[in-house]
Amino acid sequence: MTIEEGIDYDETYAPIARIEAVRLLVAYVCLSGFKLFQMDVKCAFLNGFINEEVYVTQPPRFEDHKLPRHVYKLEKALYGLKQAPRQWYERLSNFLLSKSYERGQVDKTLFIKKSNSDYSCSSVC
Amino acid sequence: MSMMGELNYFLGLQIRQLKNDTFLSQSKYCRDVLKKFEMEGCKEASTPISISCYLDADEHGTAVDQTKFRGLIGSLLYLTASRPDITFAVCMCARFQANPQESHFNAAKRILKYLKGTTNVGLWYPNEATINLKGYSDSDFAGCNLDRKSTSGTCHLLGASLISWNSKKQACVALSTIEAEYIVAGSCCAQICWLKQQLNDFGLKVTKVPLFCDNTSAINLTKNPIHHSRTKHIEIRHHFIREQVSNGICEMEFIESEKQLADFFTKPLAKDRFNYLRTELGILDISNIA
Repeated sequence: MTIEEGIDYDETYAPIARIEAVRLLVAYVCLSGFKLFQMDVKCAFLNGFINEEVYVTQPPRFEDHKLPRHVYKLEKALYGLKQAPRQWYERLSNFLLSKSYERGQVDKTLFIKKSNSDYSCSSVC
Repeated sequence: MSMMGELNYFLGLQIRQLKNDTFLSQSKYCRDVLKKFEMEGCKEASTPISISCYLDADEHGTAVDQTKFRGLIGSLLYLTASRPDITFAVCMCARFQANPQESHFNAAKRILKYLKGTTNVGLWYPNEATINLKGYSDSDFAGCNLDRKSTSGTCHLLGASLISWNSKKQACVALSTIEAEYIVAGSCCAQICWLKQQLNDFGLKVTKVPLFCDNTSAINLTKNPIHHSRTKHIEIRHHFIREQVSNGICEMEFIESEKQLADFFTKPLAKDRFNYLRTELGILDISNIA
């Protein structure tokens, strides 16, 4: 497998939460008397959309016996792609922003939504 | 996507949310580390590093397997996410990774012996009415025997919750205790700036964050911009603190050396002192709370 910069991927940076930020969130939540809940996205990286045209050879159990020399064109990201974390972050952050969450000024992995009495914040990791 | 209910395990941290407090620990990981390095049956030590421990390059010692030593340091560093009590000792051992000798390996094993007796220790976050940010900065002047550089130690508490800490050998040689303290205060202040911005995102405004320092001369130096003959050489970057103080970001305050919590991150401590600071920082055994 060859992945080449400029062809298969361009930007790859994705923000991640610092451990201090996680502890700060836990401490703040405790001091404010809130409770933290967690959610998990299974196979998260498979959900990111990619902007580049990337082809992969037929993986085991997905071979087409009539066209064995053909390749698959990717529509979404795959584990192992350099841009996968970035694309997943982009998709998730776009979703949260569309649900009127606000992104943190310094910590880009923190999303906060405030309504009259509710306060919800999520940290993306 | 699946809902996993209340947060109880996140990025390797075991999180227990009770009614009035929250407890963070890595006890399972701690037991795994002891198992991995075959130290499950070892004797327990009361502190992670002995006060008579003077580690040097030890060039004439017996070399140990570098891969194993680095593996041990790596595992212990990961454990520091919820164990500030071993931070100083681990950082001390980590300095000798390039050419580890038996003496260094024994010091690292002493940390494991300490962990053996404190497997269930973690960070305790009590639910307090007041939310205020505090910073502590301390240094051990010329603490390193090899190059006489000082050791920085800082910690930050939100209410009574220890959220951030740091132990680091300073990058340059300090000529006096004032200079050493001044350098730490600068890095402590930088962390306060970050925490302040972070809290701002939560909707919490903090101003004039108290920064506790046990050196009055260093405090005066941040307030009074007079050039003294003995502080002329202090680098510009360390004057960063002076600017932050004048901008009202933080405020230098004096604290007696006995109550200086950041002392925990600068040098090896005797058992009583170690236990006192450990409790003050909210690093407790879960069985003593629940």
